[in-house]
Amino acid sequence: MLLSDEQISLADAARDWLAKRTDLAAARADGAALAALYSADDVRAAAELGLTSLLRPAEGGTFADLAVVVEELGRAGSPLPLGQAALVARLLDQIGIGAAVSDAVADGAALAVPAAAEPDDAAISGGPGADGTLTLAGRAAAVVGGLGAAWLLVSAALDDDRALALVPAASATRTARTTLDLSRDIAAVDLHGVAVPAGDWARVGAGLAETLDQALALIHILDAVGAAGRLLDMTVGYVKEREQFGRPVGSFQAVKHHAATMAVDIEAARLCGHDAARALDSGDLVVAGTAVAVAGSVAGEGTSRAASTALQLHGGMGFTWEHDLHLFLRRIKVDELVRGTPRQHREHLIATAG
Amino acid sequence: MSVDWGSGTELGEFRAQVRAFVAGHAPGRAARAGVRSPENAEELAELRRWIAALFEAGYFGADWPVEFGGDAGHDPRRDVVVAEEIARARAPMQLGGNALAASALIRFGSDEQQARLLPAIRSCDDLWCQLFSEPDAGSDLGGMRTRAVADGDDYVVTGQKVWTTNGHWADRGYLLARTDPDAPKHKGITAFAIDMDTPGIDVRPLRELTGTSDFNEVFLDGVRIPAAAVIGRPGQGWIVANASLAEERNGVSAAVVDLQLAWEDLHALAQKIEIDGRPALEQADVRQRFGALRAEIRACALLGQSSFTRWRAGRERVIDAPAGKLWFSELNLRLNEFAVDLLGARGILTEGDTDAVDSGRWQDAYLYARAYTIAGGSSEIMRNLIAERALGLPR
Repeated sequence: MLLSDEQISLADAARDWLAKRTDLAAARADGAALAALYSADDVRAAAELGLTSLLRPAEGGTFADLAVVVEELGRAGSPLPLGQAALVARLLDQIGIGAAVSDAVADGAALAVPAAAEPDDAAISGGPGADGTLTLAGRAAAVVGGLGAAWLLVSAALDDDRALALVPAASATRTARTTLDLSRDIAAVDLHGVAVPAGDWARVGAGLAETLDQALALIHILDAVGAAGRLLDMTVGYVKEREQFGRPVGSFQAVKHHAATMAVDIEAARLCGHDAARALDSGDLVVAGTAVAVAGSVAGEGTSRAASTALQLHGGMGFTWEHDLHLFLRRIKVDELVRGTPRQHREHLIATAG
Repeated sequence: MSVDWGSGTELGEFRAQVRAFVAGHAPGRAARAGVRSPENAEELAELRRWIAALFEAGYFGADWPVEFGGDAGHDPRRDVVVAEEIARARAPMQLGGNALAASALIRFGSDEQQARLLPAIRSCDDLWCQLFSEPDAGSDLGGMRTRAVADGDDYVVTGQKVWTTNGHWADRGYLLARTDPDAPKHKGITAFAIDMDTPGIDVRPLRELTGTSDFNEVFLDGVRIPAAAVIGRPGQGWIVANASLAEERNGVSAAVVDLQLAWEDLHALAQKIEIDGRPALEQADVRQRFGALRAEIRACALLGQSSFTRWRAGRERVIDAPAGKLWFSELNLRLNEFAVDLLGARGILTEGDTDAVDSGRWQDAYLYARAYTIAGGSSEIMRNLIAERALGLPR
């Protein structure tokens, strides 16, 4: 259950690259996240590193590898929805549609992200026509990366089954949302009346749609773990430097205990997140469902608590707009609340208890 | 919930073997929460037979040197399996004092000590107690004041120890005492293996808040012990003690099984008891608590597994052991507080009352739970450790 040498190298490479590429100052500009905060060049460079193709079956990619990368995206506060894009490439390959889009995502020519209704909302629905067209209705309330993406992979209910439909993002009505998160673009996507021609959608079992939901939840869990890890580093650095009463505030036991609690919460969240990634790799939907819910419950609460403590330990400095701290605190809260809240994860855990 | 090394594998078969053995040999006494002493001589005799049987079967002591009955090709994962299966049967664990003494003797004991004392640990003819804590030296163990003064070929020990589990039953004691009052705090301490029937030792049971007596105060007044009782070298006691404390590795995996069983039993109970005319388990807040606890127990298991895996791979970190201890002890407290609260007004009834739920098991566990957040390094000490040694915050 420890990271392999290859995974450690992957994490290091992603971390170095993201540290150079991520401009957190840009996120602080008013209304910045109302558009994608990254360039086409960023996407191409990420693809060159293999970050958008690492889940493709032909690459032998695993969710365990994805977990490592997504954690680094959170740690960097990156605007790039690379986990989501890698997931779309995998699903397209698996169901055998949109080969050109899958290749384009892997090459970095375009981004594609999943669009699914939030767990508490009505599902997006699809109506099949006689000519093989699928007509969509419904809405995805919070599509992370939805503004910058060229393509959307829509998860829709189809009779008692599910469908995955690939649609050009421009064909849907996208509304930029003003959210707590300043570091990523988030869109509401209205799919009403979007017609998907035969060949661009596929009927899939409930299992694959569930895998998509689990993987999306996992991406936000690990993103939060990475962001919280960054906050822990920032906090430890700050309390070692900041002096009051003639000594570093980090020498006070009240501060030490807060920092230690952060470290333990983040470690538990990280272990649960990586365990869920391995569970997804196992292909057992029930095991994966439990592991994702465990991670969502532990990490959702733990990372938000760690972020809140990080702010407390930074004192007034952390309360300023200019400090990066709030960018991560905001991002972590959004990660907690989209694609499954701790409340929903806990209900899953009790509803499925034998 | 236990560590899954696969059924049908060699370890899976080993687990089945241990499970059958435990079912056939474990004492029949009713389990109380936590680490508890035998309540009478019969229970003590049963406990000795049980521990001896585990050594005899090779389930305990397999990591010992071969000349003392260990297994040269021992796989440490087997120790985890054994601990988990004993916990699953709610049977008594290895005695903490015996495990600690064995570890110290194997690493630091003289040939004579090893030959004399280790076989009696295997047969459980000797029951050991740990004489470390003092009234004024708990978390600050280095501040101990019990003195051992060299006198000819002997040492004469005077002082007081406390929180001595099984002290009233113990045949031998693993004692830390100050031999050099002028040396720096942690350097003047020496470890000893002493006979508990030596004149001058007075053991007085302490009654805890649970109502039972599991700990003792031990008064040492001019206790004369031979220099051959020193474990390691004089002044090396702090190193000896820390090395043996670090050997305790299977605690978390067994504790996870305890938590899992408690969760399952409480879950079953919540379907029977009613709140506002409906089963408690149908209440939204109750469901949320159960869901959260299930997740936290799984996280505890992962913390334990990760720590164990890192240790085996030589990649252990400072945070691993204290994080597991903190997570378990605080989760165990939350779970048992929740259990008592869930019972509502019936939650006030304890063992001895005819209407007590599950014979007062949850109340006993609730009262006992703080033992885990205090003993073996309090939660505060664990956080200091993490902050100073893992995060590098200034002392």
